[in-house]
Amino acid sequence: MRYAFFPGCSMKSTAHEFEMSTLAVARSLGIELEEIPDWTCCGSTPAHATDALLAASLPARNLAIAESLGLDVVTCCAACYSRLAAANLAISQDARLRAEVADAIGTEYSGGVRVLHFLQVLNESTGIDELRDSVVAGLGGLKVACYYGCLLTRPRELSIVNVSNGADPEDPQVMEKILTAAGAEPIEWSYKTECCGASFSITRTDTVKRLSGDILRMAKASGAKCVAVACPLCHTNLDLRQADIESATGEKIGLPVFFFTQLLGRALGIPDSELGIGKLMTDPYRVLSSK
Amino acid sequence: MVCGGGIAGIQSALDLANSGFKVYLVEKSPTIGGKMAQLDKTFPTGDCATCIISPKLVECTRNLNIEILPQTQIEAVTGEPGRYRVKLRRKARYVDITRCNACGDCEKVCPVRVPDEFNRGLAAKTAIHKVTAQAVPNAYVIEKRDRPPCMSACPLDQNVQAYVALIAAGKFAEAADIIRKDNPLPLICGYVCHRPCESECQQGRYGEAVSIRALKRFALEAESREQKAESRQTSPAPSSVRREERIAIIGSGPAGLGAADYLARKGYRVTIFEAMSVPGGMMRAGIPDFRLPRSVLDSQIQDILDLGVELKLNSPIGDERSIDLLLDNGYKAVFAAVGAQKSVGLGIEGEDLQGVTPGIDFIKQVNLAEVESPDSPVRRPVIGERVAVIGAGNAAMDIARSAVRLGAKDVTVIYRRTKREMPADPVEVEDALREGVRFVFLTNPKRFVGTDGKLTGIECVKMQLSEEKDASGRRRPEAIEGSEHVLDFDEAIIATGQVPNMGFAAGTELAVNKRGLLDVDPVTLATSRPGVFAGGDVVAGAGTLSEAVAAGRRAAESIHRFIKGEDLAEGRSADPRVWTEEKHLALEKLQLREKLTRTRRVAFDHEIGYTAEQAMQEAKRCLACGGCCECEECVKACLAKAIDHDMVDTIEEIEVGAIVLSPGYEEFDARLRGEFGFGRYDNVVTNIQFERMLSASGPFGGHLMRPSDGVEPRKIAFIQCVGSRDAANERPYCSSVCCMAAIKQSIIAQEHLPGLEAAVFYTDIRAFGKDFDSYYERAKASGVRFTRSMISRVVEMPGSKNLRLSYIKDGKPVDEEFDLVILSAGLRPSEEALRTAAALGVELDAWGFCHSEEFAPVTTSKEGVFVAGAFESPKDIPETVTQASAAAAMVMQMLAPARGTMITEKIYPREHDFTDAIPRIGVFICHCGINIAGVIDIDRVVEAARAMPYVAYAENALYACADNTQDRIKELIREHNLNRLVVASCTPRTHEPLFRDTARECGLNPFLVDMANIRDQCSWVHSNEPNAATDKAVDLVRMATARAARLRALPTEELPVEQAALVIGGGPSGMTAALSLAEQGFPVHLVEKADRLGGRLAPGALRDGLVSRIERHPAIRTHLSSRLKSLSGHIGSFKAEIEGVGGLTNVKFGALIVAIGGTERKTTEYCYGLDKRVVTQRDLESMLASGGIDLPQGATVGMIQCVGSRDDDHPYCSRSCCAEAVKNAVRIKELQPDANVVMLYRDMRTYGVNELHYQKAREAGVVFVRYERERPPQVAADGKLTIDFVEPELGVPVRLDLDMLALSTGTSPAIDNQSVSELAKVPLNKDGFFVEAHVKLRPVDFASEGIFLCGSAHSPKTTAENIQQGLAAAGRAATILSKKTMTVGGQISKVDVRKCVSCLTCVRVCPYGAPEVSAANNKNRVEIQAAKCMGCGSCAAECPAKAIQLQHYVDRQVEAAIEALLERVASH
Repeated sequence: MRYAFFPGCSMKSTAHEFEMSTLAVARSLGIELEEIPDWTCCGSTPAHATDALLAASLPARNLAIAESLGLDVVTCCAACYSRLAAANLAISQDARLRAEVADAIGTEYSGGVRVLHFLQVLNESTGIDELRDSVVAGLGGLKVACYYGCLLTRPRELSIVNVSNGADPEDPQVMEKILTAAGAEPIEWSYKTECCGASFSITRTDTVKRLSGDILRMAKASGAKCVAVACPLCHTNLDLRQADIESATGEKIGLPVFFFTQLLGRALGIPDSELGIGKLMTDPYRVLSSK
Repeated sequence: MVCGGGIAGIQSALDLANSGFKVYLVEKSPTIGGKMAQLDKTFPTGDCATCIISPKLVECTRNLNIEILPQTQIEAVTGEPGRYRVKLRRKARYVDITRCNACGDCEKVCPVRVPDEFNRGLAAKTAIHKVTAQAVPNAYVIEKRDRPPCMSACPLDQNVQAYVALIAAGKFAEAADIIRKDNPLPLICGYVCHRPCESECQQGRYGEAVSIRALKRFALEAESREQKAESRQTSPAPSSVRREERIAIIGSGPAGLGAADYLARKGYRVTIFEAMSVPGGMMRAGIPDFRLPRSVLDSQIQDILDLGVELKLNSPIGDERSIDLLLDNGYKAVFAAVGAQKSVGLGIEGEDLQGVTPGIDFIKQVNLAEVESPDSPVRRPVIGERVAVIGAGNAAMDIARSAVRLGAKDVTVIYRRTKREMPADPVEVEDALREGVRFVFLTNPKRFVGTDGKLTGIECVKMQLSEEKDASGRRRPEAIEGSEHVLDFDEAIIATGQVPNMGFAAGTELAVNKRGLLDVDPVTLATSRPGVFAGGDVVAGAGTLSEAVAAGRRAAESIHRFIKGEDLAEGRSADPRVWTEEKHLALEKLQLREKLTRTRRVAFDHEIGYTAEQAMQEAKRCLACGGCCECEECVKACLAKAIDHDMVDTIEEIEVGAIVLSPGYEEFDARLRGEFGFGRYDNVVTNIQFERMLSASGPFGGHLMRPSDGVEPRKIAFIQCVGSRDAANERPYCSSVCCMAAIKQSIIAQEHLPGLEAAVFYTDIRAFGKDFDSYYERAKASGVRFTRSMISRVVEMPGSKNLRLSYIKDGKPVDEEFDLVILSAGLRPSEEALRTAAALGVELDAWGFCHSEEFAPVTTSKEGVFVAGAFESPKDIPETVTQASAAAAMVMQMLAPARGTMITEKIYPREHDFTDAIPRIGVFICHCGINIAGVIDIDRVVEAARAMPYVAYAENALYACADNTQDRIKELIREHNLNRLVVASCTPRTHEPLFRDTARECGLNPFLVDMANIRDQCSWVHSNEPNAATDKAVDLVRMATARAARLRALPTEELPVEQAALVIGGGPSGMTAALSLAEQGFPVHLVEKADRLGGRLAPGALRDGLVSRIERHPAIRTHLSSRLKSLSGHIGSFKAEIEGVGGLTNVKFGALIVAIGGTERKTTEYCYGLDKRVVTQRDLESMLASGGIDLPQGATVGMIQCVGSRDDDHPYCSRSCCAEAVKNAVRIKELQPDANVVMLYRDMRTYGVNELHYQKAREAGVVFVRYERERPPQVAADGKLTIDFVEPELGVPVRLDLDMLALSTGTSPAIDNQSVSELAKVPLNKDGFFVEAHVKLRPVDFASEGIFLCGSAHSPKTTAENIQQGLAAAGRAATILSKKTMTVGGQISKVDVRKCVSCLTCVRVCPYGAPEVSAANNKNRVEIQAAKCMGCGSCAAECPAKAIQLQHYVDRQVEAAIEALLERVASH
């Protein structure tokens, strides 16, 4: 299994541990991730909030490079996933846009490259059975709240859940299945796809503290001992802001927030140093046995 | 043929059968009744749905001309209209309906629980069950699904699900019996089987597989020695036939023993030749004691030897004694069952060093150490300190663990792949790890290193897994160059493979394959030499124990056939185990629907085994993938011998003239609205589930509680339009019924739990039907909260499992928690309907509903096929019933010449006159399986009955209702000259007609029969007090016999029927009714007060077509400018005077149809009449129809709905105005796109597919503005026409200049309603519309028999609906007109004229108008008209002079029963 890997900017900065743990897990499972050479930003919110052509062209450039490698694209960042997949859909459905994009990026791209989130790769290509068999140090029934946020499951046609198979984007189960195989016990809760406040983190911190605080409190009330996420921004809001959230209400929350790849990596026996566990803000060792 | 046994199908079938047609009622499920049977109550009366539908179900079964075909589907239709050939698939029921008496004994023993679909998964039911207590046909059914995966995976075809289910039910001995049936070495398997069943277990796909092997071991060890001995005698019984043929078996391993067991049970003389000094083969030599205790092994072998099998130890076959010799010495057949006893070496350097041991040699030494034999002294091996085990199979694990036990300091397993690829059972690996065995993965030995001929270490190389896969489907390991290293060991045991020793074949020519194994036929296991068979390791290489046993049994079957000279292969296949991926998916879906319970394995100590509690707990985790598990406990329990597990589907072809399609609907799958959490949140239920929760026969016994915790909810919320008006989910239409259903459910829920807060979140309340709005108002008055808001999401709160709803109120977001949320899931065509429609080839609309033309509402695209009910479009019960009768009328028209040609009528012998005979009562006491006899001492009741006065004969009956008992009763009636019959059994509601019928067949008047209900009212309710219950049963029988002695034969008489009809009203409904009856050949008088036909029908093709057909029809006599002057008589024989321009006409007829329509209401509001720009919606429609309207550029047209409707004067909704207004608005936009259309409405009631017009109007730019009743718009006409209103969402006042204003003024009752009501003595409601006999099930009947109603006289409706109702009325009337005579009398009221004082009390209380004061006959005394009396007894109860007695319940009969009851009290 070989994929073109689109890291996106967060992986190289705030969410470096997400990239570390993703690459370590991939290595351990025999998944080859080849970083797209000379990749550029996916455009993120600023592009698609301002200019449809820019929002399609930036991802298209990266996808075109992947196409030349003959590989499907894997990404870890939820926003990158959403932007790449949305551009892919728009370009494949709209001939005029396709022509404009070709003009902008200087190469023809038809939308034919498959865009996958790393969760999908594990679930569909590796398969849960193989994952379970690869686990060497199960997570010992760790109660984890799997949190998806908005961009992985919405809109329906871009959802990482297999809608055509009857799966429900309002109740994704992908991360649950993966972490169950890793020996955790994901809890069922109602806020899996709630909004964390996303990039308002910078402009309207108060809103984000309220929204992310609701998520953390709901996870805790639902019996979770930690949260697993698959999005760098969600992670920032839930982990980095957690102390802020606590001081705003005076209520102690204390839920470690992991990238799901960190938990999986532990189950696969990868040392914490390769998973960037030390980079987490909320003390992870209150729920993990130290290694 | 009527397809679909819901209320629509039932009504069509009854109407057709009652008017002289033979009907096949085809239903896919095991019972008829459809969705209505699932409802709790019906509104507005609060009638129990079951109570009102049950009589209809029973009527269907009793009708000789209705043949109910349950579990039947239409496969294909050929032929032409009037002569269709329908191919039917009749599904296997596994219960013979004609034998099943529904006693329920089977249900009590069934160990399998499956989700109860009828209760929408809120409860479980047994695999054999009756769908409901009131199921029709009243018989059980078995739910079977595919063969379960565990059973499919088992080489021995063990019925895993059955024994697991029996263990769960605590029936351990029965479970053991099932296990032993297919397994001669059951307990050995219980210890060491490789558990292919668990690998396939579906519970394992979600969590952990059920511990099947451990359960098997438990079941076998749980039964006592006595039980075991007893079972072995019975299952499977050794053949009583002793056969002389001798069979030789080589090897006493699992294959050999498997064959020996099978053959010995067939009676053969079996000899096993075993080379070793002990029996058991590789089971003994290869499996260590700590996994398979020797005591278990020995006893299992002994069990087989006990069947008479001869065992010769130390008797190798080969050079000295060859197979040939055996055959020459009289053995008829030989089975070679030699195990894989030889280790395969690694073929690397140093294997000959001391300290390198072949695995088999080692393990044999360990396992056989305790065996002392002079020839082969076997000693426990001496073990090294640092031991390497090379290999990763189960043998390697056994060796490693044995080495630990022998005292090795360090045991290391070396494997070239990873843990993931290990072939060993993971449980064994875990055990090895726990015992301290170390594992070195991705490492391969290259050579053994030693000094002085002794092993010192192994040189290994590191491996990696390549992308490539090898033949086994695993990634191929590759050596990493330069990674060689030496590991220190002083002993190495090679366990990488084993092969059989082929020495046994010496001297005999047997074909061998490339692998060096015997070449056999895969199906028969025959070798190249006739009479010699082989199986197990010698054929398959080293295999598993259960596979070897299976091979032994397979070979034994071949040997049996060989000796009998039969074909060896016939009917057999190589491997019957199939469980396809497709089935996996199907199961996954099924379980998703059933809400899979993820459960964890019950922990247990591997060595000790389960306790009974643990085993039952673990067994209960089984998902019962196969439905019925075929344990056959029900077969044992069924005394009527009704159960047959071998039934198969059958195909049948039936010829029919016409087809009515009424397959009903399914509710929208609420899971598709994932934001509401249905299926995830316990306390989010659908409306149908809620009906079941409210129902007394539902999962909670009618006690309203939350599914999550059984607590009574205090606050509930309804979310409307789930899967209705929902374009995103391809359900853009309105489902029509959900608003009223939610209103009803909230009212009923409040009745269950006073103080319950109920909130309904809706878009529009569509209370468009008759009396719906007043019901809506009633709900509001009783505190149900109605909030106009779409709920975007439901959040389950942790802990409480309450549901938080977020909505907008007064422009602000509100969060509110509820205990329970009900989703009003919409209607969609059922899968079955779509399948049937495809088989018939009828056209469907975009959403799968059956296409029909607007003004031919029950006609499909295929001639001779009609449609009724929700499959036509979403509709409620009354409209469904109406359509069913309409479809029946269409069939009657089409098949009129065939009427009466295929019907069955029962002929009874002449009745004997017993008036003066002394009563001779026959009493029959029913056991009802053990239903009654399980509690009541039947013999004592029979004894007591024999002593009762006038009892000439008494006996018990196993099932009183069974066919053979009926014959016996008839015989006894004749033999003992019985003239009264008393049956003590179940309820007269279902069974009295049967016993009356039996009596009639013997010449007894049917009223000489009485019943005592000793089941429902005795054994069921007093099941804990058998003695007292028996006393009570005796009392009940004494009462019945006392009453029976006083029963009198009641006469009935036949009255001629006037086979003609009178229809009042020449509008669309009246014309349609008249035409339908005329087409059926009945003369019709059509009375119209105007001077032309057509009523309120607008001029056009529809009106012209109907009028000209009427005028041309010879059977219709039209009376224009006429009215009804008088009406007398009763059903079947009415007389009337028609007053017309030419004077009076006297007519006679058998049925009357009231179709006098309604009128458009006029108004003085909103400047109507003051300004000619203000028109009614109907005026506007005429303008649009006649070529359009003249509006200036950019004109603004206003529309106001509910003008003079839904207010205090006219509290009802006129139903059709919203749809009409919307259509007109769209038409204006089409004609003049720049015109503005602004419609002010209160609730937009575009029900059903009209919703699409509403959608279209919004898309076309029509502006819809809501107004509250309290704040109506203001219109001023002062030169300019202006309208003022407040935009409700923004709260801003708006003024518009209008060029035109159209008012929807609604429909008023016809002026003549009052006079017709008085003439026909039929009632009007408070709004002035006629009241039908029953709002749900008799929508076009009056309570007075023989009189029907249709059209707007009933309530306001659209033209299409009027036409439909006209047809329905015709269909109903035809059930009377088709009969030449009718039977009256029997159980009716009689007046004693001497006591009557003509106080008229009876006239007032009778709902049917039966009592009549007749001056002529009776000197002004009351007379009950027999044809009108329904036998309800109201008059008898009310008569102050006690002048009226209800026949069959006269005072002296009731008194006799009471005296009999008091007899025992008095004796105390």
